[in-house]
Amino acid sequence: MNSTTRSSGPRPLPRRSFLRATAGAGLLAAGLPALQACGLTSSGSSAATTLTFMNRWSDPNSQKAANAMFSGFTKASGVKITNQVQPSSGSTYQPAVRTAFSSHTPPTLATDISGPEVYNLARAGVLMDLTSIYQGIKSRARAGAVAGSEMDGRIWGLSDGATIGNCVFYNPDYLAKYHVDAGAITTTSQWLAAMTDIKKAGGTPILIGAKDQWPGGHYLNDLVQRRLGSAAATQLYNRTVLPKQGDKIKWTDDQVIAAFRDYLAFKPLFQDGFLGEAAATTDGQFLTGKAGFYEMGSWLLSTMRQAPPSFTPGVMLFPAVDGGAGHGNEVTLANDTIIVSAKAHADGVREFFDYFAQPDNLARWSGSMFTSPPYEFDASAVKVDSPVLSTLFGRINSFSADAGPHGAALFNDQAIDVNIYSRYIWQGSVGLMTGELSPEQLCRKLEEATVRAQQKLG
Amino acid sequence: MNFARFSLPAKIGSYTGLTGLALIIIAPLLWLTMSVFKSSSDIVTNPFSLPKSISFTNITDAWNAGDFGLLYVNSVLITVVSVFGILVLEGMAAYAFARMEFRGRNLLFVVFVAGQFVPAQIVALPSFLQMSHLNLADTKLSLILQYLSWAPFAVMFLRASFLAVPKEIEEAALLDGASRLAVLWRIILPMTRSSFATVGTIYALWIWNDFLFPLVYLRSSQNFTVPLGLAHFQGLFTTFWGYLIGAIFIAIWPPILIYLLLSRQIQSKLAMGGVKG
Amino acid sequence: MSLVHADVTAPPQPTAARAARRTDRRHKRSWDAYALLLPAGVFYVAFQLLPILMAFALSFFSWDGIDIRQAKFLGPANYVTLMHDGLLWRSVWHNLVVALAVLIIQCVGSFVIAAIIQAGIKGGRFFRLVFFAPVVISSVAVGMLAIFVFSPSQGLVNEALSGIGLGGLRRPWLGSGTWALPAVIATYILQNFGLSVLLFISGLGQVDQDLLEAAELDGASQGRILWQVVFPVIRPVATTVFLLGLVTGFKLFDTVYVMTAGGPFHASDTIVTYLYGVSFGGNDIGYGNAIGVLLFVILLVVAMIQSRLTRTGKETE
Repeated sequence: MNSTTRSSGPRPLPRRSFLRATAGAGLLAAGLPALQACGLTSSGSSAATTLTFMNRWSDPNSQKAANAMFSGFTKASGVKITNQVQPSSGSTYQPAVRTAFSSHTPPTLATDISGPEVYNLARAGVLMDLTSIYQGIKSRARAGAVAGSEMDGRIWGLSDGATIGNCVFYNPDYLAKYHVDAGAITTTSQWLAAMTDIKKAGGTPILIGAKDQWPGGHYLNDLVQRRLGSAAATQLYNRTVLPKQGDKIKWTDDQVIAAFRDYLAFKPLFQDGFLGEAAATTDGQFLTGKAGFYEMGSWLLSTMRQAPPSFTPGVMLFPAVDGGAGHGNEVTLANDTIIVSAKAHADGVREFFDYFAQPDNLARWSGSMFTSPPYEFDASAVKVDSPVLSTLFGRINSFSADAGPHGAALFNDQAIDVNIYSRYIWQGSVGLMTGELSPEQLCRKLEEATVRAQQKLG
Repeated sequence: MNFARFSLPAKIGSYTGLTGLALIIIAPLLWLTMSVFKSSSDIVTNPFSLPKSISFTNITDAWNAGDFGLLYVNSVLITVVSVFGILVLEGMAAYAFARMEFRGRNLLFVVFVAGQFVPAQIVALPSFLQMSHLNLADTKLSLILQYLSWAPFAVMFLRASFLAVPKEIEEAALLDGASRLAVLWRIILPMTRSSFATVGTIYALWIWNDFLFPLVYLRSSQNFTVPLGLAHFQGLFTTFWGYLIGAIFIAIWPPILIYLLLSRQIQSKLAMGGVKG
Repeated sequence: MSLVHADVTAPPQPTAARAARRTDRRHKRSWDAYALLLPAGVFYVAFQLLPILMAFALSFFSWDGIDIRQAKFLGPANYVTLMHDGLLWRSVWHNLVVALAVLIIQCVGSFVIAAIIQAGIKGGRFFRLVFFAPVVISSVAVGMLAIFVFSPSQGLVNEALSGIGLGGLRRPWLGSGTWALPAVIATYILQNFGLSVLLFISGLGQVDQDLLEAAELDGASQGRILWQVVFPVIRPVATTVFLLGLVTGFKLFDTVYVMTAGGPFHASDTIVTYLYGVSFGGNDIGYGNAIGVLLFVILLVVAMIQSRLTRTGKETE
């Protein structure tokens, strides 16, 4: 039988299979144009005469406001602008900006937080120097227009609005039940005393969503600013991001340690289980009238617009601290900056900033985004849909007006190097509350990290 | 294995255990479904009561604000193309590893499998720069190309599946004069159909739910996929309750429903794995 | 020459020629095999291996992610830092806990559940559906849902505990140093065990029905049947399930990040959440990549140990 002389294994595959494989690869290469046709390779990137604007105004209200502003600009100037709105998830937007500017097709414009993010991008050479553009609108600019975007005497970003970070919202109806008058509170000791009374009477004086870490960071920010004053706090923060700052003010100074210790005083007053609660939940709980006070930035107004509170909220600034160098009218700014790619055409960009900084556009922008753009505009022209929100917003704007030219400091998570604030301020605030860290320990770690940062900066 | 022959304690334990697990899984989904029809404040004040009135605004608002219609189209396109590609590409490779002898087989197999030991988080950025160089940044194609490179698990699983096909069947057919290709097509593939279905399902899930690569590759909202839509409502400092619950609802139920509809197909294909003959 | 003559007078072929023909055949088969590997290989090398190699290379640099031409060469400095990074090793420990939980609870548990379902428990299809449904959902969505479920003031868990009179067991789950990681692990396992069940059911379906019936007719106990009939067939699937469980357990990111971001105070940090914080939060891509290399090594070791432990006779390569 012939079969005994055949090989015992199966016959090898015909040569065809190899050709088939290469043909497959070839098909893919040839198919690229076909894929292009069905939109698989289309990107949103611009042609030369269209501006692209990367931002995180992704919630419905902000998107509406942004689109309105963009179409207004196009109508006025004839320049097209593409809205590249990104998911606003906090931890992903900043990396996305860095990635975008490192690509071959960076956006023309992008929003970003002020401070080290901008400095880093500027140092990497991917940003356009906006000094000359700024000269064009400087006369209309107010304090804060270039806070956190000025480096080596050059301007690298222009603010599109600041929110106030150290507000304390309160529920007058809830407080009235416990005979507390928020208007009478001017110092933290008075505030703590009032809240202790509420707690003793079985109420919930104050809420915090500490699980998300940044709410604790707020308290550390507010207390440090009250104890040091805005200028000194800024000096301290700058040591983490700017070179040659010396060490006149250290994290291990008594006032700073005291500020961190002040935070511990709030621990027995927070709601049960506060360490495991998300800020989203506490936002909702405060707005449905479940507590007396709530420390939050003025962006809470945006949340209120979507989920109207069941009461008429009041708002005050974080009270002054006895023995602190700061005053109760000093504000913390969370500044949002518009940066420009080095590869952009200056003309279209200049037109955009000119348009943006026009008073009536600013007024409209302010009212729809609940921010205070630091340029001249008529505050009374700001239209806010709801009367409650309108009152609140007016009051908040008065805070920045009353703060005076030197009464503002950038938020600690905008002013401090991200490595340091995420690890020691945000996470650290949780560590203080769990007891894993003492204020002295945390301050020491912060100081060590800052010294290291100074050394790296040269 | 016959359940009827289980001892009584084993039977009781089985029913209790499985039912308990099922309840734990169903409860949050039920809560979500209940909450999505409530107003934002109602969700906070009365988390566990039935909605006073059924309102669809959370769902419609989230759908429109996140532009989920477009997101679904993108996700479907990318997933279908990628899964199909994976099955073809890795099927071929797995067959070679399972049934053929060649130089470097073991080494190449290890190389193919080793990729899964690297977390995607460190691959994402270099890969994005690569795509940017190829002028494919911010395109759906870049995602498809990336997903088509997800070889490790498919190669492993399909190879094991090919190995499980008894050699005798193949050899008998070959002895009868069938060509290798015919053997592959008529005998081996039908027997491993369930494995392909399994791999296809798993990859479809991985790709559909992938958040990292769309986040890093894409910038224009017209290319966004469904997972990115969720992130629209979770700002750093603000969260929009009603929208968020609505978005979670939108993200959760369609895949479940599709799975339920297809489960009949999937289960039958998966269970019939080792049918003889 | 006639055929017969050739058959009778042809001497046995010299070994060299026979060997040459064998390698010749091998060579031919190699080409065909390479042909089958090529398409997959092209994509894999281009879009997976190359970036991986680049990431490994970058671990010797310091880079903030903006302009790669400005990356600074550091030599092994990142690895030195890595050795002394207490928080990193704490994360590694957390991942070991996760891996253990996944192995014991998820893999073994899924097998048991799959066996029960395959054995024909009433409502088997219903259970299959319910268990697999969470697998289909994005872990980001599941994580967000879990945040509400674990909310100390109004989440399902605490409310249920109070409801059945166990109010003393209420905890600030995601804010507790002891309970954050278990809560995350529980969420992860509940979401994913359905997949393992599915894979096991698929594997169990390959068990020889005739053999099963024969064993039962012989009067063997269910346990004995499990051990002698089912286990051998299930081995390759089990190996895959275990490996998949371990690998995804070590790469755990989405669920943790959404629920706790590694908090409170690093109590639930996994290797990858820590890596992410370093790379994208802290602008130190180089160091993050070094951590990635560490993870790669860990997983290689895990895979090798696992393959050694589960070596079956079937692997005739």
